[in-house]
Amino acid sequence: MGQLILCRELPASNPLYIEELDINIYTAEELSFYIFNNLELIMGEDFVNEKLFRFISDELGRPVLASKLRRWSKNSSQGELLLVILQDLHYYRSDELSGFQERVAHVANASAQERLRQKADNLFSKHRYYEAVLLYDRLLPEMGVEAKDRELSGRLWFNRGSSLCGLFSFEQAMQSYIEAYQLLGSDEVLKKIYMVGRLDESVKPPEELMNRVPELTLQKWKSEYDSILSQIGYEGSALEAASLKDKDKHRRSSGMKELVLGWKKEYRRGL
Amino acid sequence: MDGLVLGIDLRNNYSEVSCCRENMVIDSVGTDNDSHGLIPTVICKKKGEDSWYIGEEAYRLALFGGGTMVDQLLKLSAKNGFATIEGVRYEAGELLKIYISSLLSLAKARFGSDEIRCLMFTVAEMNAAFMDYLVDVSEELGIPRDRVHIQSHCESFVSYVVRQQPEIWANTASLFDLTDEGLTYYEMRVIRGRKPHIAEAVRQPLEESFSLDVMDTPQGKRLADSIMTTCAGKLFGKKVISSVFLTGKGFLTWDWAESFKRVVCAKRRCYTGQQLFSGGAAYAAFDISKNRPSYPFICICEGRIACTVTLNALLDGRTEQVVLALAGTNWYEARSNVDLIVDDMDEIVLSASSVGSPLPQKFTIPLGQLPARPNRTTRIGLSLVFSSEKDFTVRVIDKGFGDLFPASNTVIRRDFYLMG
Repeated sequence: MGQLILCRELPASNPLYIEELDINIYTAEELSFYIFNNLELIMGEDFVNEKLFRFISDELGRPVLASKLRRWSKNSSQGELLLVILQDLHYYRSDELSGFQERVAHVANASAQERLRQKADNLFSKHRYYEAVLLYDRLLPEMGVEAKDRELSGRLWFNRGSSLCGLFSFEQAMQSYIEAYQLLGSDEVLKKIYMVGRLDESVKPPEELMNRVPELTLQKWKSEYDSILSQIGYEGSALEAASLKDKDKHRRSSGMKELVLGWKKEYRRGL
Repeated sequence: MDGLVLGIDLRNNYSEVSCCRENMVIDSVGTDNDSHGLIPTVICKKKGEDSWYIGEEAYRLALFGGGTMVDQLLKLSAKNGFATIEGVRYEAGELLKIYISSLLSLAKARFGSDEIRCLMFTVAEMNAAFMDYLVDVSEELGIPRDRVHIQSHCESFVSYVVRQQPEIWANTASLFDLTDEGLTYYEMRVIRGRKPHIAEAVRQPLEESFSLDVMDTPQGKRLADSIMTTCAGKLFGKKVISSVFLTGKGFLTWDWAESFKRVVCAKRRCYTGQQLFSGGAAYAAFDISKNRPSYPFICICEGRIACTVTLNALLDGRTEQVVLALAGTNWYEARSNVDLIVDDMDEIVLSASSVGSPLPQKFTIPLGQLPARPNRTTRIGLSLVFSSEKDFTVRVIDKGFGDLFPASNTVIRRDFYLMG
């Protein structure tokens, strides 16, 4: 059954800046959500620090929690402190906190390489493409040549390619996808290679790879791409921009400005 | 005394101003020649000058042709009317502002203080637009908004009575208000079984009203006495009434009401006098200015909310009942704002329970219009305001979830009516 959670305090006037995602945290609920959903990003980083304690004490109005964290930070692990924060803020239920505790243990026990991979994937899922690419570049040279590592390397090349697409670096993305295909040999990667070729006409997919795709599949990908292209003007941000056409001159102009600023911010966030 | 604590009874024909002193003594304020603190609600502009007169002075000036008089200021304001004086059009609101300003000047001059610590207007009927107007006017006159309050005559009656000796309100206390505008009956009783006590009061305009002019003749006086006697008999019935108050211009004298007197004075205390409503308003203003009631009670009457409106929400992991409006609060001042996180809910259910009624009334606000987001990432601002003691409006605004999920500012509005 659903419920409502009463917010105790007003949004902070001095928010907590999270550099990894280029966002500000204003409330106890947002802090809980960020910790719970970005564990892989946080673990191993200097997140539970004096800056966080001050934010909890002064901005969230919870000096008792802050002093508890300060006291315990000397003898407790980062995972334990994060759990204390979540428990005290009461945003997640106890069953969810049990799950979180298991995730903390899993991340803590993971190898440095595994943790780095999780972090890179997490950054990729948060559209922080540039940072994700940097981490993939750190990981890839360390990969072994065994079958297990080959598959993992293929996945890393694939995600690197997708991150580069997010940065509009189609030529490098194509290279990454080709590497991924050589390791994975899957149709999914071939499809990406085809799509990158369509997105940027100057980046040609290797002919020998495309020759491997049956004509029928190629036709299917082509119509899929065309359909996305025709739909793209009627959804998401395009729809938002189109709705501004109905506004009066001043509102349209300020709305467009705001929208473009938003897009720029979103793009920069990916860098 | 640092600042005046005033109660102003605003009526269409006359007004009254009372001041509550530090020792809880009520003093009336009036112009020199007005009778018993009744200040006619009229205004007169002196010919060729920018001088304004109110009350009896206004009548006198107009009578001798020294100026142009405007009366019925409240009625004129209610219909957004205007008056043309010496070729200049004056909005009714503007004239009322001058009138109120003059009333305040009288009080300031009488008590030698320029500061108003708390001002309570009392009016027969709580009309939202008029009340907004009174607050705005007061602000324009330099009185901060948080020092201005408004309550109904019914509530002023309660405020007045509960500050008297307890024997007076041991059982029911009654009030007859006889004016040029009509005859109104009020009744109040205190329910002592609960803490704090609950004072319940009702107002009943009577159809049997009559013009005060009829009392100019002996036959008219007899007729008035007979009407009042019948009314009292009918209204009192078998009730146990501890006290009867008689107020209004019709009771400046009551030698005309011999038979009525016998009924109302039978085995109970009876008081006649003016400044009952303005005095009650001044008592209430005094309590507000001190931030603590001299006699704590919940008042259920015209102008006060009869139900407590709540919603259930989690606070620190425990389900709590969040009070949005408390029974007995002046509806004009009852407003609340809370921020909530929606956790897997399609609708919000508010509950309203009235004093003594076991079954709460439920009100549902569907949340379907809110943007789709992951669970628990929608912060909403819920505000509740009353537009009368029965009608309230709930607004839910989407505040998003910080930078993670920006606000759409979608607003869901629902109007509700409290039964009972």
